[in-house]
Amino acid sequence: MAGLVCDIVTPAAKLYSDDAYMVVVPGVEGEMGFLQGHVPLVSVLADGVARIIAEQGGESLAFALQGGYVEVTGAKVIILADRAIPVKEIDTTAVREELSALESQRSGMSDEDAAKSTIDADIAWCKVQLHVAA
Amino acid sequence: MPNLHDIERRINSVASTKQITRTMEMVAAAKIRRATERVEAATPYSSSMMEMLANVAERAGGSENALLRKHDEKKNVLVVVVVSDRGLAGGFNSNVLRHVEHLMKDRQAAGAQVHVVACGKKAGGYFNYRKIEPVMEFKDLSADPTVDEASTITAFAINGYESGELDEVIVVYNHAKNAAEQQLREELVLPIDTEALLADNKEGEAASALSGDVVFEPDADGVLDRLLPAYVRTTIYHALIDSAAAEQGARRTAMKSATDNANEMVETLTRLYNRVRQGAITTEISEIVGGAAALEE
Repeated sequence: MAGLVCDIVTPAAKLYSDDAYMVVVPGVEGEMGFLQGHVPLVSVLADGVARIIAEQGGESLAFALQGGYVEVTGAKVIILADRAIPVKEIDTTAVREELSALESQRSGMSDEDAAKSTIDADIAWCKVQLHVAA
Repeated sequence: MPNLHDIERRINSVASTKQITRTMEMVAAAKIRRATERVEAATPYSSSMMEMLANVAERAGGSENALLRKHDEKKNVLVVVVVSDRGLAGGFNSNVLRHVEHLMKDRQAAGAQVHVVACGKKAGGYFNYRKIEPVMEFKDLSADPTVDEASTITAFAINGYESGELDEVIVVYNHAKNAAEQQLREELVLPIDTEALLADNKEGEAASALSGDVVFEPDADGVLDRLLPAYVRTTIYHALIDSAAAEQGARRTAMKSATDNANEMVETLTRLYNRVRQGAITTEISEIVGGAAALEE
């Protein structure tokens, strides 16, 4: 029985939109799982991994998220995230390389310059991806 | 009477210009599709975001978030100017820039200092020429705006607003009304006007799925504090991609009329060319006839 529709959207694209049996998200106060008929809820998400289980007892699909929110109504779960990527698609070696490049770049920048760029968020995003994929 | 060779050269030059403008028209037409697709891809996010924010704002009434508070004195105004990197798009850039200049004059007359964020090479060039140094400048992104660019602008604006260095943030851009029409828009980004947001939401209330008791985690104010910056970023990102779509539309229209004009010009010139050639032939014949008649006598 799949009575829940789950959307994962980022500012750039709609990443996922399909039926799901259960959705598990990393809320700021701990992980939460939603089944059909969940009470309406809006929550801020921590950086981490959201899992979508399409069928009862089935395999789960994992997405790494950064800076997200979730909105739940009885039949729909909308996850809004600044950045998201399916865990399967994370290329750990590439991310590691990117992280070290970013970190060396960051060490050469003043805090003021860093505040004008998204480099801190980029570094955090790399770390989230590595953490999730590990 | 211009001579035949000159006219021929002009026809050739107009014809080759026409080839360029026609190619640009077709390239722009192809890019419109990609740009509008991007706007469509971003729409689910921004509409969910707005709905969520309106719902939260309604319940978290009386929140003292710094981004919602209006500053009484408007001393420093940040204007985010969104234009393109390339010209040849008709009035696309100059409309925005002219509007911004008026805006700056107004604000300066009211005693405010105006800071500029220039998105697009054309804005950078315009302001540098007028000895106005933009606080931030973005190049080579107008055709392909990124979320990072929007995040950078947002971070700067929010920091400034929270620390009191900025009292108002405005974004000026071209909205792509449809593929052929652009509309100049001036939007107030900060302070966030929740009343307008609520009014928007009331209109679409039937579609709003969140109603009745909603659980907020950690709490309504906490969610609001996190949502507001994201909302600002969404607004700015939306302005950027909307402007990118409008740019291609404006360029296509401009290049289309340039191609049409070139066609018309080639036609007129060809007519002139034929007339001059015919005139030359007629003169020649009458000279020969005249010469032959003179010989006979």
